[in-house]
Amino acid sequence: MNKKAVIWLYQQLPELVAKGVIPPESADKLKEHYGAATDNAGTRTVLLIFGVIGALLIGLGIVLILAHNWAQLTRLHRLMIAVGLLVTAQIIAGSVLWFRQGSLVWREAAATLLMLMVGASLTLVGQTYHLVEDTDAFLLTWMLLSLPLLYLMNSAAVAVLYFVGITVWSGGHYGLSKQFIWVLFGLALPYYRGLLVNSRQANTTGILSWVITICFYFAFGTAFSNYLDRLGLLIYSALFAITYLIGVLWFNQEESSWRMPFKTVGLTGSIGLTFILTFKDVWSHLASGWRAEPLLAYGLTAVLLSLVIVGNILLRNRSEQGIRPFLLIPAVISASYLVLFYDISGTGATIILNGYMLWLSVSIITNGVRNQRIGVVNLGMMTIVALIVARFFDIDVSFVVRGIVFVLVGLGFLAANVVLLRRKAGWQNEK
Amino acid sequence: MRLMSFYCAAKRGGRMKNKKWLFGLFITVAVLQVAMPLYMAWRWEDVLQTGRQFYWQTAPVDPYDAFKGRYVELRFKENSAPISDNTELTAEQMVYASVAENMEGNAYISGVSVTCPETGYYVKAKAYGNGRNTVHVSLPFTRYYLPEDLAPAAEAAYRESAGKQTSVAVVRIKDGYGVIEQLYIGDKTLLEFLQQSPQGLVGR
Repeated sequence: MNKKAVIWLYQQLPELVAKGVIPPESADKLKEHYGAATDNAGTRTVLLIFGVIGALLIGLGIVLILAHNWAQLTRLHRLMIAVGLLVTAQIIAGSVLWFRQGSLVWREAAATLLMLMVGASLTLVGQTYHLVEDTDAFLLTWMLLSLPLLYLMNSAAVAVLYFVGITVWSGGHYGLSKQFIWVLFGLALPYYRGLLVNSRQANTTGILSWVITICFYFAFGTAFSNYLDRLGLLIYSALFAITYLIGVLWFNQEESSWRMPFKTVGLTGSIGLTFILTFKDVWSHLASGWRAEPLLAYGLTAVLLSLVIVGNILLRNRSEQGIRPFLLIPAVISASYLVLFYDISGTGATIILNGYMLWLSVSIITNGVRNQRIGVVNLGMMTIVALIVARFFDIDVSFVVRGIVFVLVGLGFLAANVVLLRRKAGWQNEK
Repeated sequence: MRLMSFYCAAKRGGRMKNKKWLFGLFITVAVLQVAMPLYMAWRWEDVLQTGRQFYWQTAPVDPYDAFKGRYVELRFKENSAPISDNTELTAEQMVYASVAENMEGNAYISGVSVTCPETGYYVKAKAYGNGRNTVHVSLPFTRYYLPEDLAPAAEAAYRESAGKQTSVAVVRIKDGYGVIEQLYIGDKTLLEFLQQSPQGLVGR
C-alpha cells in the first residue's frame, strides 16, 4: 500500500469520524488493517535485503563447500548430506510457514535458502555419479521443484531466481522445445498478478517487474530467434511499443517512473531502435539478402502490430499527448519496410527514419518545454545530438561545418536549460 | 491463483483450516523435492551395482565448472559408428548407441539406431552427423569429478601419460544409462597413480 496514501487517510479519519461519515469502530478497523503509517519501513526493507542476501550467501557457500568434492566421503555419505541439507532447509521453511507466516523477512530468507538447497542436493547427486546431464535438464528440474515455493511461501526472491533460471534455461534450446519457456513463464505469472493486486507499491513488486521485463526480452529473443532474421527490427519495435503501452495504460499512476520498468524499457528500446535504423547500412543489409521468411514470422509480426493497434485504441481517450510520437514507431518502420521493396538501396527507408527521429526529438523537446520538465527537454536534446553525431560520422562533411553545428547545438542546449530554469523559478514564485 | 487466495485467506483471517491446507501442500512439495535427488541416486546406483562393465580408452581435456567443482573431462577414442537403420538424423537427435567389445576387451560403438535395440548393451546419447556414412556420438559420461585439490594433479598426470600409457574409463552400463566407475592410468587407478607419483601430490 502506498504509504503517502495511508498517511493521507489517517489525516482524514478524525474528520470523517467527527462528521459521522464512518463510525469510530470502522476508523479503528482501518487503522488495524493498514498498520502504523509511520512504521519503520526503511528498517524493514534493510532487514529484508540482509535476510535474503544472507540466505543467498549461506546457500551459495554450502554449494561451494560441496563442490570441493571431499575424497573422504562415500557415496552414501554424500547422499545423506544432500538429503540432510535439503530436509534442514525444508524444516526451517516449514516452521516459518507455521509459526512466522506474517514475517516477510523470515519467509523470503527461508524460501531463498530452500530453493538453493534444492539445487545443491541435485548437483551433489550429479557430482557423486559423475553425471554430465545437461545444464538445461538440471535447471529445469531445479526450477520446477522450486516453483511451488513461490506460491506457498509467497516469496518474491524465489520468483526472481525462478525467472532468471528459466531465462538461462531457454538459452540452451533448439527447435520447438524452446517455446516451452512460455509455459514456464505462465506458471509464475499468477503470482506476479497477485503481487500487483495486493501489494503494488511494495519494493519487491517493482524489482520483480524489472526482472520479468528483462527476462521476457531475453526469452523472446531466444524463443523466436528463427523468425527475427529480417523482420526482427519491426517485431522489436512493436514489442517496445507494447511494453510502453502497458506502462501507460496500467502503470501510469506510479509515483516514480523507475518503480515500474514498462515505460522506461519501452521508451529506451524505441529510441535506441530508431537510432540504429537511421544508419543506411542496416537497411542495405536488410535488402541485400532478402528471402522469403517463414510464415510464422509474418504471423508473429501481424499479431504484435495488431496488439499495438489495440493498445492505441484503448489509449485514445487518454489525454497524454507526449506519448503519441513513440507509438508511431512500428508504423514508421512498417512503411520503411514497404519503401525498401521498391528502393533496394535503402536510401528511402534511411531518409524516412532520419526524418522521423528528428521529428521525434523535436516533439520530445516541445513536450518538455510545455510541461516545464528539464529532464524531458534534455532527453530530446540528447536524441538530436545522437542523430547529428551519427550522421556526421556517416557522411563526409568538412570539420568546420561539423564544428559549427556542434557549437550551435551546444548553445541551444544551454539556452533551453537557462530559459526553462528561469520560467520554472518564475512559475514557482507566482505560486 | 487458488494458492494465492489460500495464502491471502490465511494471512487475513489466520483461519486454521487454510493454514493446514497450505502446510499440507508444503509437505507435499517438500516430499517431491526430496524424492527427486533420491530417485536420481537410486537410478545411478542401480546402474553401478548391476550394470555391465565396459573399458573405454580415453584422452583427457581440462575445464572448470564453478558449480559442480573440479572434474576431468574425458574424450573417448571410439565415438563414431555406422547408422544401423537408414534414417536421416537431425543434429543432437537422441539415439541408441549399441556398445560392444573388441578383441582386446575395449569397448566401442558397434552401431547407432533411433529405435531401442532389443539385444545387447546400449547407451542413450546425442548424435551428430559427420557427413560420411558414420555418425559421431556424444557419449553421456564424459566427466569424472575429483576432489578440488587433486584435480589439477590428476589432469597433469593424465596428460603426461596420454602418449605413453593407455588411460581407460571403466563404465557400467544398464538400460541405456552409463556411469563411470573408475579411471585407470596404465594398470593403476587414478588415485593410486597420484599417490605413487614422484611429486607426492596427494600427500600435500
